[in-house]
Amino acid sequence: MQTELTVQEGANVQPEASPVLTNVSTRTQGRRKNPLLGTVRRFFQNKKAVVGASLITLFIVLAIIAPLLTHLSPNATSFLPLQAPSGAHPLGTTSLGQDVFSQFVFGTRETLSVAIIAGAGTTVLSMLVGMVSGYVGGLMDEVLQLVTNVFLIIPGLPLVIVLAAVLPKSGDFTMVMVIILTGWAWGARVLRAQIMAMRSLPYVESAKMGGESMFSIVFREIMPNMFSLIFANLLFSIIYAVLTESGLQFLGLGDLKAVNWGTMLYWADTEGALLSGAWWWFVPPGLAIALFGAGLALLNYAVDELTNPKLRSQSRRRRRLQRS
Amino acid sequence: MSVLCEICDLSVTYFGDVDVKVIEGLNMTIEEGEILGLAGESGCGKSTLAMALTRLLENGEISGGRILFQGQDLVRASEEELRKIRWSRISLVTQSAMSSLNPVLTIGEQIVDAIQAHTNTKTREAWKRAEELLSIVEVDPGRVHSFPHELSGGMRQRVMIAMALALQPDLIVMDEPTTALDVVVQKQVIRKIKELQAKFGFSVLFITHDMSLLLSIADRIAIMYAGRLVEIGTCQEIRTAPRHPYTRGLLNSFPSVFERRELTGIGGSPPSMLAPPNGCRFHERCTLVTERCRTEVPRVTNLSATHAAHCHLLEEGVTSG
Amino acid sequence: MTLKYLVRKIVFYVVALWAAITLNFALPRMMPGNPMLVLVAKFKGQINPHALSSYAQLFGLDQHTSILTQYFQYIGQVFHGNLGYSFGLYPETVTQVLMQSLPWTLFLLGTSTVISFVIGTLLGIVSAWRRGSVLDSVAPTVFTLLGAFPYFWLALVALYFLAFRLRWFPIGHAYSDTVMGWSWANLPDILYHAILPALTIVVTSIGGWLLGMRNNMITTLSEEYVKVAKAKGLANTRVMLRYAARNAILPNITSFALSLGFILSGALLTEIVFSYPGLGYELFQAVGNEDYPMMQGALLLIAIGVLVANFLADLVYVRLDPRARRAQ
Repeated sequence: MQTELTVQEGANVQPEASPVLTNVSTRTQGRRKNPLLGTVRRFFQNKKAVVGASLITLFIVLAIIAPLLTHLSPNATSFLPLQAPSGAHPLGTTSLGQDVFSQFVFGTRETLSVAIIAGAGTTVLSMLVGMVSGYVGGLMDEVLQLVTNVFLIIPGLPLVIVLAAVLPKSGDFTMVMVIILTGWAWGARVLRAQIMAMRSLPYVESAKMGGESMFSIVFREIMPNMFSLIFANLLFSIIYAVLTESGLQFLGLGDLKAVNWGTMLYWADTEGALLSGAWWWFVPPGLAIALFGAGLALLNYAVDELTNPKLRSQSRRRRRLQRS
Repeated sequence: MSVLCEICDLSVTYFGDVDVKVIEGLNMTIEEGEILGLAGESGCGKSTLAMALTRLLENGEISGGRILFQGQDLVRASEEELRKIRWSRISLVTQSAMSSLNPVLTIGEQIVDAIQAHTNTKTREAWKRAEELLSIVEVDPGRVHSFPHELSGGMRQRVMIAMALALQPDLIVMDEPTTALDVVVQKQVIRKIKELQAKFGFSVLFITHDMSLLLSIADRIAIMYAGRLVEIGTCQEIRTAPRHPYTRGLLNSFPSVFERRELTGIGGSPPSMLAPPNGCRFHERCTLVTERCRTEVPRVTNLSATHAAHCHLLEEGVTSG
Repeated sequence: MTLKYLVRKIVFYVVALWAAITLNFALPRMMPGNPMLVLVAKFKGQINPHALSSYAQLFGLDQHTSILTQYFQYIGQVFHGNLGYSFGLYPETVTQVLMQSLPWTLFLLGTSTVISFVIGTLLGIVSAWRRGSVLDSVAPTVFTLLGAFPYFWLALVALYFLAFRLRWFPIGHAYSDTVMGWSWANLPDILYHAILPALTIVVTSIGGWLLGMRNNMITTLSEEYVKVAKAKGLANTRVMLRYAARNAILPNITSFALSLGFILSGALLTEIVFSYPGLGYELFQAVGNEDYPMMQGALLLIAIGVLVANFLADLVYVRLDPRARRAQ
């Protein structure tokens, strides 16, 4: 939802914006040697961006260095069952005698790779459909819009549940495909709207007059200016992927032998971790999903603020006014 | 004529990454029952002045000065006092009537809203009044139940004017009210404004960048440049004896029906308000610039009881006209 | 203009319905080696011939009929509300079972979605109106964070702490074992059971509405007509609601309609965690029992439900936006 709204605001660049203020912003940018540097600096000044990026980096680093953090195998069932956290087992053990910490760090690896691949795939599909629909227009657009809306409205999860039950083996590949198939529509809609708004901008018109090909116009003239929107869309898709993936695995519809946040929760729930009070078993994976998702959401929020001056500068102005 | 509104030493600052003073030390009066024209290039602070006068500034704040409206200082008025003054004594007509009317309410509802915010008029009476107002501006009264998107551009602007008249205000601020209209409709609307003004006797602050339009409608004309007032005088004085080089430039940048002359315009573009030039703000573009213009802010020179300008050339008594 | 809008909407609903039905038709036929054959063989002798032929039609077990004929037969059956017999709960029909669970889902989901929409939208309006206030800096951030929590996990934790440890709420189900289903007398008991699942849905879904509405409001607040409304000297709340929010809510209603499927998905998981006897729980049970007719039926009903909700949202939109309403 939030991504869509960004589009409207982006498309709504006020034609009558005070020339004085426009002057200000161009001047300020012009004064800095490198505009990228300015963006980077503003990024680090934004609290939400910093917290969000740190959370995401933390999980990615965790996934990469997983084998360095523990020498215990996530699948080994050789420990005393249901041990509370201790020096030997920082997050305790499961009722099957597995080390929760080892499961958690290796699970991070598995969950993140599926989420990132599925999220990226979703974004690519959204982009393709959105660009073609928005740029080509006409009947093609009508049809693609119809398909997009149908996919949007058909509830993803029940479909995914049935798909996962019906399809033979729910490995990671099936998981990724199912997420992409049910998740692309929202992004396509958002990107289409933005393309529609940009299609008639003077510089795109002039590229068209200059005889640039559609491919080149879309990918060289339009895309670079939609970077923030595509990035926001990627973040949103990854959130969707993590939630869907973990949701399915939690329901036992993933590969139960695999170790990831979702199956950890599935086993914790099935083995009665709640009733036996083994909080160290079901809290870490859930909290991780929440924190990873929150990191993405914060970053998304920050990208919104950084790229949309209307959302950004006001609060600072108000603060000044209150002071004076 | 007596003074309706006196603007004294008004400054407006926009807050952003850097604070920008978009209006500085502005002095001006609006007489009762006159049409005061305000002209200048885009970004010179005209619209900001309109918003300051109605205390509706969004990005900025009045950082100094007073606005005495019928003796009451609007700068120091409380929110509730302002709310009462708005529309009942000062109303507003903006550039684009399409965007000034709420798209989801009928025009009748919007007029009635304004009436009932200030008077205890019964709903049925208020609707009748709305119909009357529409007929005053020659819009079919049956249109009260129409939505803005169902009206043409000219009709919407007339509706805006009708709405501005709803509470018989003393001052109507018109910010580029005809810019978005085509020339024929523009003429009709201007004629209507003059006619209504003569009939009801309210004052108008008419803001536009179109000098030829101002010369045909205004009683007096004020010229702004880069946030400062540069010249003010009667329509006659400005047309026949402009004294500030900028005013002359403006007058020379459109064709005249009275005489054949070369169109010269003004070279360069307005300065950035982020770092306005020292001294006279026009010096960078002025063909008559002197050393003093670059360092010293020109004071006001009164040329007649009604005519004044800010230019060092005038202070020195140089008349190059 | 308006006619085109209407035609487009109708085409959309017809295509969406057709897609849902077709998907349902295709799913069991996509299964490799059709496990239905095995299951039906297992049931042979225990179920009556009528039920058997119904299965044959639903799942394409009859090798002699062409796929096209099967397809039209299937559509015919769906329009007669005949979705076959449940495997797991035989001899009950799928329709019977689904009609028992539908009210629970409507009750839990409908109430909590409306509550979350209303609270989220109001908070969004006020945050945008008071830019930079404490509310504006706290509410969007807090609810964005809560929105990132997986529904099912929040449900689990709530269940563990509030129901299991603190015993403030019952552990799952829609009503106590001592009472039987729905009646007015049971209302307090039913509400008591609904609070916790509803709360988890509300808490996690407010963020989306809030942020959406806040951003719409910020866009709308810079509109000329809001400025004019202030210039008219209207009371603040009137400007905020009748001029700004009244316009800002329009795109939010569109997103409301379109994200229903998404919200529903999360809420169905909540039902599963709380063993709440709605459609989500039924669907989950069906997956566990390999009850394919039930899965198919639940999916179809959920899809139709979302379509109907969308249609209602469309009606509301047309009601609120004269530009979509008036034929001119």
